[in-house]
Amino acid sequence: MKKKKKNLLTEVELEFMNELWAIDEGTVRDVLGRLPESRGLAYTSAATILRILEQKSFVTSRKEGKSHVYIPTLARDAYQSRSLKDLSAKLFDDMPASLVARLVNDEDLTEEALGQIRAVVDRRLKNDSG
Amino acid sequence: MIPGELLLDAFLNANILLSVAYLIWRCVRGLMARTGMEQAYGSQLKILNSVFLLIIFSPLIIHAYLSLKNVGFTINVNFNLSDMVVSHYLNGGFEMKASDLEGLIRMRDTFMLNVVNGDGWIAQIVIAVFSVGFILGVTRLFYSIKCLRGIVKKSYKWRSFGRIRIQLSDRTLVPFSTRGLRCYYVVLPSHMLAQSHELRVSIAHELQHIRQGDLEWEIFLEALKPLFFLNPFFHAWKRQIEDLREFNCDSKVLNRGVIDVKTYCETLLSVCQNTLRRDRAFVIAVPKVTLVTANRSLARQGKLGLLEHRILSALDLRPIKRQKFMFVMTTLPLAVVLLITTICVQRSGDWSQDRLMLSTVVNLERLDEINRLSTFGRIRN
Repeated sequence: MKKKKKNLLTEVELEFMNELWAIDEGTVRDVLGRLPESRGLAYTSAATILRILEQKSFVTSRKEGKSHVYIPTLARDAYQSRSLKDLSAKLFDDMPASLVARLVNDEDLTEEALGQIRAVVDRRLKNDSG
Repeated sequence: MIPGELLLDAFLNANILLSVAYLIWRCVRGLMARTGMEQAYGSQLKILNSVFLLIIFSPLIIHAYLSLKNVGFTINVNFNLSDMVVSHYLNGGFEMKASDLEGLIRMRDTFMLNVVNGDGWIAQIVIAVFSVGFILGVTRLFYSIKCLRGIVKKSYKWRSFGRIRIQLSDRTLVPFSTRGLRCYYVVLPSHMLAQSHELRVSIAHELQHIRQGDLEWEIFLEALKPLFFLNPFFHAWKRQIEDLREFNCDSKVLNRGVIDVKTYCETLLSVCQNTLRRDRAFVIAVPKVTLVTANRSLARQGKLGLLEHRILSALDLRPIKRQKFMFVMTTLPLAVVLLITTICVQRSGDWSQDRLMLSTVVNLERLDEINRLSTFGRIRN
């Protein structure tokens, strides 16, 4: 299959990847089964989305009997970093500090969440200096 | 005539014909609306396309006419507009200074000669504007094709049957179709896979465009755009074709009865919302035929846009009978009028009796003017 390089996922693809990350690997039916019934997605459409994900190198597949089992090639964390880098570049002039500042200044952020952010930053600083 | 002059002459004729044809077409369309044929979109589109072909091939028609005239096969009636005006003038139809009339009649010849030889500042400005516009137009066309190729190339193959390839793309939010040398491409936004109704409507709509031959017409008109960019009637004509092909496509898809009006209109509205968010590369990519096009400026002005017209038309769709008959009955008189106009606007090929007479009158006027002047430039009473 011809591979195409594509950095980011569309909304539907992300939905599929989230399900695959949750189950580590799965067939079209496995992923479809995890989606809410209201989604009303046809089997062929789901198969096409997974095929596109394979062409974009986000998943690989192996044949098991009559069906394909899809395995994510990119970890969720790695995609999160990639997505944030893209957001930072496109919306925050490539300055991650602005992104974090916007996040921290969000009024909806609870004390607990702020504490967690501080802990993450402290740990990172400690690791870097140590 | 030298080839440059010949080409310019054909080009000017095509521009004049296009303007005349557009004005006649507006009257015809108004008449059709009054006689309950407003929704005969298929016939209207065919009429416009046939007339456009007639205009483009008018130089060949003229060539055939002149060849027949030279061997004496045509009726002995002079259709040339300038000859008719001269004849009317000589018969006392209107008053004017003979030299002014001659200047007016020779205006086109003078202009053409000046443009071909690059004489005078007006001709030089015309040449410069046309050259810049043409080069920009051709560059834009190639860049647009490159953008479109990029979108199609980076899309994912979904289905294919015959020469039709259905592709899925993350780079477009609006379904569209285009064609290569051999294959037709229907490109759908990949997010549509999750919306089966929209997917069905989009595929039906785009396949109908392919069936109607809209892609070929779009390519043809886009290719001619750099040549006719100065003619506002060309742009108006293209807009008419674009609107009519959408109306025709909507009515054909809905008349088939597989998709209901509500789903169809909802898809149009949903895709239109996405159109307003589309990226620049998609906007400039041509030649393509999209499911919907949204006009922000019209929306801002509060005017009825094409989409609103399309939805109203879809909701009020009535079967139109005898469309073929109407097409023939409208195209024939239109073609005859245009053929006569084509012959009328030609440059007079030779010196007719009337033209010789006009030239004599001009010379007599000049002699009289000289006689009225004394040797020292004073006017004799």
